[in-house]
Amino acid sequence: MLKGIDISTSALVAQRQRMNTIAGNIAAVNVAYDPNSGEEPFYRRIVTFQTDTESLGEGTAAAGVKYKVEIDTDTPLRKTYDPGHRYADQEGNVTYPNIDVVTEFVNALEAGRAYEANISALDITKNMFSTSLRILA
Amino acid sequence: MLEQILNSKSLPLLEKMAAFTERRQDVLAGNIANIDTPSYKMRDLPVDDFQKALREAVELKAKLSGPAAQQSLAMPVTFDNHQQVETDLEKLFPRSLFQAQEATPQNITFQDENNRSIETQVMKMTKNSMMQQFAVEVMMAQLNQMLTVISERA
Repeated sequence: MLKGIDISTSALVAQRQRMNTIAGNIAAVNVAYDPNSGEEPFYRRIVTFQTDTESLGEGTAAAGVKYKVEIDTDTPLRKTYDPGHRYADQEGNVTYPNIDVVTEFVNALEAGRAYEANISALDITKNMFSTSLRILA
Repeated sequence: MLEQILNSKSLPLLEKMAAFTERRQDVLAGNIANIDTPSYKMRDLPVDDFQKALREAVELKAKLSGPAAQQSLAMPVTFDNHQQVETDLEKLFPRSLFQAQEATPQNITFQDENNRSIETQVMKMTKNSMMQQFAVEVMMAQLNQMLTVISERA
């Protein structure tokens, strides 16, 4: 049963990381790319989830979750025509990160709800545990 | 002697029930943890098989402590001894009952090949926790009863 707590915690950690990543994306949404800086433009970060059977719950086949932060270079960068901008290229386009605020917000909502669901699961597990302890009383 | 008393009632079965529900809680927690994991399929323990095993165990006990035993004022007939009970229970409740299986697809499978259904999972969890509470309460009632007998007080 304590394993159940660990499993729920692994999901809480993963969902929080997802939330942090989304916050980072939204913060960087309007950062224009400076072509002369010599740095890579900012790409959207996404958190991907994977079932974690190794560290938790071997034998029961109850599984936790592990996450990976990946960089999304598939979605094209956003270009806005703005010839007066100091970071505009020869054609007058300014490059922004490939972040869509609406998508990020939907993901944030989902992450928040999943976090809540895991908190509820944790609560039920905790209650069950204290019920078991009452046998001793 | 004490073992005979302990095994004569449904205590061993309640113990199994509590163990089962607690194991199931882990599996259900895993399902909720993986609610956003692509291609994860919801898992569960074989609840129906467990219930069947419970019924078989109860029937077996009823057969062993038949009417003949109840007519005499002797101690209720129990399983032969502690060892016997252990092996009998082991046979009735094999380890496979405590192994999670991927549920046959009954929910909608989403585009990421996950058949999530948070309502079903939380519902299962609530029922499971009630089952566990039931087992523990009955277990406690029996133990308290025994305690009353031991202390010779009503």
